[in-house]
Amino acid sequence: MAVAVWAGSARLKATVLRGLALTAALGLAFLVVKAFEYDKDIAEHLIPGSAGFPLDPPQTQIFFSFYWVMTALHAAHLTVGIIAVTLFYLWVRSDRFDWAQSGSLHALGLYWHLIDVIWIFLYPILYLVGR
Amino acid sequence: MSAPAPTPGRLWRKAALVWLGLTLLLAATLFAAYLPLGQVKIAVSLGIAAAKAALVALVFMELAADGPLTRMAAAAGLIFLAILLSLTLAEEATRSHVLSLFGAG
Repeated sequence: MAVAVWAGSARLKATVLRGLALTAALGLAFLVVKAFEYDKDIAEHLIPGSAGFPLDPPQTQIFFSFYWVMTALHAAHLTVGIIAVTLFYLWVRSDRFDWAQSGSLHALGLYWHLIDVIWIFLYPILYLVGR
Repeated sequence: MSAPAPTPGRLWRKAALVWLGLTLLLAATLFAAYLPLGQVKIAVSLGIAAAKAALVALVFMELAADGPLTRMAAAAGLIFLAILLSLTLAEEATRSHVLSLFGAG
């Protein structure tokens, strides 16, 4: 994503397109991994409030509420991001707007990296605590 | 960032360098998670996360290359996020006591 934004202000169209394609592909790969993880969580009944919840102190259910809400919200934002990146790919390819001047590539980059920063904090909070 | 004439190779190299830094910090945080650090552990992992976020914000989001107004706008967002998270976590922190009152603990 960062390369696409930098290449945008330098009018390097091929690099912008390559960067956007790579961004969308990596975002999609993340969602696929996440889907496998959700599948496993559901198979293990890690759903707060469900009868078969396997962990003992009741606070673990609060932890898993946070887990589901935070990762699902992140995945929803990421889905929007992937769609936006794909649309930008098509628009830049067909020169639909002046992508080097408009600053919208820059805005797209800011959105993408914000989701990125959020995951940087979610990872230690949700996956590394209690190790 | 004083940018000489940007070529595709130079841009990819710059991004790869930041990515390498982020990956090394990721390895560090994963390693630290298994060290016997006690209560310092969460501070260490959040500290490393803050370093990674700073790297993304300064280079990828170009805050380092931009003026003070942009940085103030970014800081304002950060402060409001901190307020929202504090309120949410303050609520969560009192939950365990309520649970024991109800005899669920």
